[in-house]
Amino acid sequence: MFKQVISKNIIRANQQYTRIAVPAFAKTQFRFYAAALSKEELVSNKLNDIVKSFIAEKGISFEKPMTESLKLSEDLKLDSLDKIELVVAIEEEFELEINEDASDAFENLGQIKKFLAENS
Amino acid sequence: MRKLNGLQKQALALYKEYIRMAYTKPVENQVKFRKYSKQLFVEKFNKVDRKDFSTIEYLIRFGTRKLEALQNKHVKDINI
Repeated sequence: MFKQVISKNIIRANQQYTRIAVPAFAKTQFRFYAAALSKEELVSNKLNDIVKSFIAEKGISFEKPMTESLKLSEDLKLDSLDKIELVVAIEEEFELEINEDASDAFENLGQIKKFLAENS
Repeated sequence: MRKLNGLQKQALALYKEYIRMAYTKPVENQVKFRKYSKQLFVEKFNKVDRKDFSTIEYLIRFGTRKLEALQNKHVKDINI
């Protein structure tokens, strides 16, 4: 009779020990907070990256920040062929098609951003 | 900005097709295809007067045939 009681207690003791042995951090909860970027900001960041890599590939040195008033012809010195290359790079990145009338009208970054925000 | 005439628009549309073709090539060679296209257009079209319609038409036909050859999926690299 005593043997059974003792053996049960040993089993319980082992079970309790097992519970204690579970790492304390397993139940710890972490909370992360992040503010989501708006669509305009996402488009703007993506476009800035495309323009930066494009002018780097062309060997154009431009140190100023990418503002919306940045003119493609005057500031970045892009000719009509360069503009088409930039438009195709944007099309590939945003997975959309920009028609000729719209792309001909692009003179500064702000116009491209506005078009992408409306159409992407 | 000066307004483009019909043939100039055709030439720019052809250039767009060249750049699109470059994006279908292996990533490591895409820059070479883009440079080749730019070189070809600058070399051929910049020397022509914008009112020399017959020469521009010939160059567009020439460029279209060349593009068809380059669009072949077996063309994977190019030497400039």
